[in-house]
Amino acid sequence: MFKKVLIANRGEIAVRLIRACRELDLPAVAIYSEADRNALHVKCADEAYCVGPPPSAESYLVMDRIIETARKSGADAIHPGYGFLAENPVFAKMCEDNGITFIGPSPSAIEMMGHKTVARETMEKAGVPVVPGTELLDDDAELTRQAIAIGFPVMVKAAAGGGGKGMRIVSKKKDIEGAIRAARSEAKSSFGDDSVYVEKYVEEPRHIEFQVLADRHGNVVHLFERECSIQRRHQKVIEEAPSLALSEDLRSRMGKAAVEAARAAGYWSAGTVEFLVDKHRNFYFLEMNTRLQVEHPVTELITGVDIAKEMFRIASGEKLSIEQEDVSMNGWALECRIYAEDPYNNFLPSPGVIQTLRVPSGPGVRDDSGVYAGYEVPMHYDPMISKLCTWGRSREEAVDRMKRALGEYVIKGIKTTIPFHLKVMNNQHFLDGDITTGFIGEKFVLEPGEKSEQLRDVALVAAALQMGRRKREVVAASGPVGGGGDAWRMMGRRSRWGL
Amino acid sequence: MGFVAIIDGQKIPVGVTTDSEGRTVVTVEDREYVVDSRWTQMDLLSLLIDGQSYQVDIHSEKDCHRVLIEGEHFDFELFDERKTLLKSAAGLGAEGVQEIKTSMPGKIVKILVSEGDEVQQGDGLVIVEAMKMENEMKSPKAGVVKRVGIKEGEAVESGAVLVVVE
Repeated sequence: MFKKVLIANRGEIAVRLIRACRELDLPAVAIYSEADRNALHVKCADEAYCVGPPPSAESYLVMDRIIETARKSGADAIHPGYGFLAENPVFAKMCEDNGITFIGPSPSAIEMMGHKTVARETMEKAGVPVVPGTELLDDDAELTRQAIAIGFPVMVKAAAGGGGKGMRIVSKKKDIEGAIRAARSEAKSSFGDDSVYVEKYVEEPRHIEFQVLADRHGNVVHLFERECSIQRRHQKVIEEAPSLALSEDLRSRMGKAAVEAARAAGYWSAGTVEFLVDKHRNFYFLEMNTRLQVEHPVTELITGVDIAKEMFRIASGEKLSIEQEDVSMNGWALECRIYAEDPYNNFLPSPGVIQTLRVPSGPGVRDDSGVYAGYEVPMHYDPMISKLCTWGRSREEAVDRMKRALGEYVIKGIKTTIPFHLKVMNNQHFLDGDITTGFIGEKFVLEPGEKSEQLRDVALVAAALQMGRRKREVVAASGPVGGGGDAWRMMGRRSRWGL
Repeated sequence: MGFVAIIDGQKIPVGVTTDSEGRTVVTVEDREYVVDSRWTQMDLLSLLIDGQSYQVDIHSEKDCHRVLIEGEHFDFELFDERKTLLKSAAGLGAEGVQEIKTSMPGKIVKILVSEGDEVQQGDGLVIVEAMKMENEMKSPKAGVVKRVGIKEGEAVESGAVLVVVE
């Protein structure tokens, strides 16, 4: 095993990986930007070093500075988490050249799977079905021509894409050129690479992915599927495992295809093979994510395998601790991604200070968070603040627990997507498992629930009391009113007055 | 104390009094609630009404309140009765002038309207890039675009007025 590991990431995933280090008795080194001195991962780590100013391009993405930090601190391995440098073959290679183990797949596997067209060819050769599409083209006119030839609807995607960025669906010929331009500019600003391609958009698709684990000795297993169809702006927001859409037979065929895909790529480490499953239950290889996924906890919950720790072991040269026959599914797991976004104001990001935080717990609940009360969610990074997961013996129990846990979750000071998730958990289509990637757009509205009318009066009562309290505050406050930002003193005043 | 709430275009009278036993009584229209309340934390209220326990998350700016209870969301205005009398001529609710502001620093990607345009409630006005995502700011009401205070490509601070709709 390693002597010390540097975690080249921030937020909840950095905290998750530091937890794995703790369990493996490995000292963990955090890096942070100037905006993240107060971030949770800095506090959890054994050592922490600043790597630059707030913009990620000047801190979390500066490869030589991160390598230098690893060397100085004596870390002999780097875990990149997800996003940032996780799927950057240049960085993986740079680690290798500096005698530092990159906790992930080989640079060549990242490169192969990162090149969507090479990945497709590799999969086609290995007998894994793929979706029709173009190659990466710099020429907008040629790309437009080929897009038209594929037939609408099509999807414009960034080569370096992920997380829904640089991605556009186009259903009309007249929109294609604009979409290509927009995708290029978004890809340029998010990933520093403006190459895009176009592929057929599979209608009523389900997004189902298989988790694989492979060691450096040629052993590959899959840990079953995750259903990630509930998406907003092509960004996953709710995931579950297993998927209601798969029969035992389809699951075993897709699992075999996923293992084949990993073998064809000469893959080791944890990886995810993404498939689209259409309404006729055909499946197509979409891409392989050569990183630890955001939603890995749901797989951990149903299989009992700690994927993050497996990655450390694999990277250090150990053999997989499990064989395919050892892996079984137990129960059902759900994940809701909690974003600092306002669901009642068009999901606008809502950075700011978290004044109150009450985290759910109790049976079957897991919260992977990167925040704490008093922490200021910075505006420089992705607005995801935590991942709430629940486990149950059945899907129904997992959903019931999720509703219960979301109800317990209190985050004040910023707006979050918690109310949105509660609505989804009460949506009949969701409960019936009638979910496709178009769910949010087609089958879901943020409409009032059954108890809304009764609760409206309670809301008015609360507001009237708030107005009364405020009035007394104005009367009682001597000296400068408000604005001082001393929350404790404010709270003291409030509690003294009670109501 | 007397208030008037404007919720979904409806005017609802709300009153707060104390009864002979010192309990807080809130009336909403003709419905009466005996309320026990505790502010547990900043803008977090615990209410007991007829033994029912509610955890209320309330965010208020001037007369506008956004309330979250058991995952249900309410958006309304609550005016002091006396203020209502003064304001009645000017109209209440999302009437009158509406300023569309940013809640955080960002960059103006695209302006979708020009001054003088008629807009419907929910129409996109401006696209702002913040926290790495492009966000469309929508019109809170139907009306006419009075003013566009920004240019495409411009960086804006939190709270900047982007567009005024009347």
